[in-house]
Amino acid sequence: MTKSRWKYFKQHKWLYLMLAVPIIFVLIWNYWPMYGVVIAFKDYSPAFGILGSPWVGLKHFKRFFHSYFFGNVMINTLRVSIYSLLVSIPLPIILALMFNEIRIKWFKSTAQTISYIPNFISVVVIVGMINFFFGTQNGAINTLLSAVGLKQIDFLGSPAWFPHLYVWSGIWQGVGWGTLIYTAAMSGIPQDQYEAAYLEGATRLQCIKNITIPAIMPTIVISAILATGGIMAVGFDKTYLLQNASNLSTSEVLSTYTYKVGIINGEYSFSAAVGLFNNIINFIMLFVVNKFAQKVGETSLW
Amino acid sequence: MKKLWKSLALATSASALLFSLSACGSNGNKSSGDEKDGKSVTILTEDHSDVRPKSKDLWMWKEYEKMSGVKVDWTEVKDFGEKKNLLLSKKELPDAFYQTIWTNDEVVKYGTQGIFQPLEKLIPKYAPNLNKIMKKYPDVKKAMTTPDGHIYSLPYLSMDPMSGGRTFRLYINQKWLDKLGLEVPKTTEELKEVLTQFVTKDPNGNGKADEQGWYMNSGELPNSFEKIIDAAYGLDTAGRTAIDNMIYLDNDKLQLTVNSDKMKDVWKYENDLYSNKLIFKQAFAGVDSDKWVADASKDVVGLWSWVSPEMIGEAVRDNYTPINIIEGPNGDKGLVSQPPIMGTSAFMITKDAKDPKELLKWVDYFYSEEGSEFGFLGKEGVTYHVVDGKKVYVDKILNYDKGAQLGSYQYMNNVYAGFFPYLELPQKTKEEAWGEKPIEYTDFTDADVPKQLLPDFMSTPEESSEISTIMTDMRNYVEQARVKFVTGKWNFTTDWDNYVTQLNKIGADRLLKIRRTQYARYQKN
Repeated sequence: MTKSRWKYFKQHKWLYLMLAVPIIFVLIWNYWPMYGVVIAFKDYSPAFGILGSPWVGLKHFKRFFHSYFFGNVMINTLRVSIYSLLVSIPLPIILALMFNEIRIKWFKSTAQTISYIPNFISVVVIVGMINFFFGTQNGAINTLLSAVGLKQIDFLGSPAWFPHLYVWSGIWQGVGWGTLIYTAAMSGIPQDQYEAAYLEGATRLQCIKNITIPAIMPTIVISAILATGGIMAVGFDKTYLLQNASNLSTSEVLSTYTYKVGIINGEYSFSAAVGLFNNIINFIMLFVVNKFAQKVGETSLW
Repeated sequence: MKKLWKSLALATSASALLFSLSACGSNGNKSSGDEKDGKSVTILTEDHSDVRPKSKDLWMWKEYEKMSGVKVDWTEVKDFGEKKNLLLSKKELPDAFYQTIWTNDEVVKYGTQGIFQPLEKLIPKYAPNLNKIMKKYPDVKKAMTTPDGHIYSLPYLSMDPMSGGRTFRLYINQKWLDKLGLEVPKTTEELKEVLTQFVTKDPNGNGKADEQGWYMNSGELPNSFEKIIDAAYGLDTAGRTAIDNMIYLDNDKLQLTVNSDKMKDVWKYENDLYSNKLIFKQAFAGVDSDKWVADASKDVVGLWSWVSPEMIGEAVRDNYTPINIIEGPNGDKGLVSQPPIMGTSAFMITKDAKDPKELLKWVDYFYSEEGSEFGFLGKEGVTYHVVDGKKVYVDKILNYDKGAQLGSYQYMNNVYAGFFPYLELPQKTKEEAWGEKPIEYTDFTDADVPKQLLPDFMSTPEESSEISTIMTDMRNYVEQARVKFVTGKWNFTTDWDNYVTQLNKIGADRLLKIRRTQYARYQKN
């Protein structure tokens, strides 16, 4: 038994050797640094190093949970991320379906390309554009509003508007890019299925409902599972840039709060504790959603 | 499965960064100082080579090497603020840190952990100039002494309140005042009246009501403008740094600013200005400094506030008259100044320095009058001339294409970007050196400088871990509350009590107690 396995191994030794490269890569860059997470349970000081710093147990976690803003920050984070999930999962699918139905080839590819482009704009520029469009004084939208005699709206300074600004600017930027994975999945659907349906007298909507969507369902489920795995991760850059004193009550999320307490004050242990907490929540979410998907449908991550 | 573990690995990204950076750091080429003459030292400083020659090529350092006989091996680091804590994990540190920014908490922490050497015993012997200043101004020593009685770092000192960016003041549009036939306001009442005329009477004469009262980039209001109003309502009794730390002295008793009735009055005044459109509508959101400067060039800014006038742009800066003092309704007034000891972390000697005495002697020169002039002006005949009894930079500095200040930075170190271990020259000397006519401030006397200008206190490690959470949360909450009170979303009669209650929940009482302990310790130092 072992002998035949060894033989098998020897037979494919070059394949195994090739496999060794990524494994070593992952070990060095993903697993080895992981021991550093212990600083979440220590009072880390560069003077003593990661292993030499004194243990403090759950001190940093307790401090985080007992902080005045803990509840507020958690609610803000979940509000933005759940809102974002609800919108950013279905919209790319709908857009991809629309692209798929376009029959004029040049128009389709041009429209797709244009829809990807915002994805390559840097966050700083996006925020500059948001300021330009939504500013109160000379902002394009408010100028329009007052031109038609409507009351100006303080988009940038209002806590109520922050989640909308954040989520919809994200959609504007990412929806085209998000269609890519579905477009790829759709291109794998055999054309004869459509032809057969067409011959049977199916309408376009029926084709979408009965052929396209079932065919891309596994892709939808997988990307939804992956997206929920990032539920605690609200992007730092855009939030921080859009943040100001007046919208702080909804715009202070975990990442910006950690930055203020942890990084600015050089409290790496505290930051690591919050980071670890985040990832545990994300991990649990991923696990739960995956289990759910397994139960309900046939598709799941593992 | 791999994906999952990868997401878990993200948890450690901070530590991974730490790890990889320190790993890179340790193979960095650090020469261990060739000790042929025994007078070679390694010093780390921030990298400013984007605007001036590298330290090893800078005229002043080459000159000082000849004068002192000490050869300095400079290490320069970009983005020091992000890297400083990581630098400390290196096996061997440079002998000293020069002109680098550390918080007091860091100084205490790394001092007690043995990374920085205590200097209090060496200073009297090997730093006579600094020692003289410390004897003459006891506040300097008080501010530098840590809770355990040590001095780990040397200061940046500016004795002239008008120099080194110590004092916030208002800048008011003189063109508009002249046009409307108004005097420079001296009280909060007059200020409101002047601003009202500014925004209603079209002083820029373009027929549009585009004039603003106080207008600056969003977020600046609490920093400079509010502190000037604080002074008019009696919150400036311990100076500008104390206000930053949320404290003031009420009849020699330390109190918190943010929950006092005086703060309420300050915000009421700001609310009054805001609701009458005398403070720019977007004061709290949506305007960056580029947009502000662009607007300012169109002559729409009536009033703004900062430590010096150049920020608003060359085109209009001369239109503005500085106001140092605004008197409040109860006669409170004062200069919004930082204490003379502006930076406490200008020079630190590390555990790896073999000859701390030599380093102290080396740096002490810059605390003498002669060294202070050398650090800023250089040498007569080389970098400056004496014209009519005034020391003025030579032409190659004055005519430098990016201005005289950056021009002098091509030769000297102590002229730009930061807190040097050094005694700052008076503002008048500096302005003369740049070939400018010195600004004469006539609206204040020495009596207007608060009697006690409190510095950032040194905290024990226990205090600092408690304070940092309370202060972060408190700043956050006060920031939100200020917007609501000033813009009128919260009402002073109904919402103030709840505001104070929330501050107590965050830990206002605890903060005050710690601050009082620190103040008592400070006075004893």
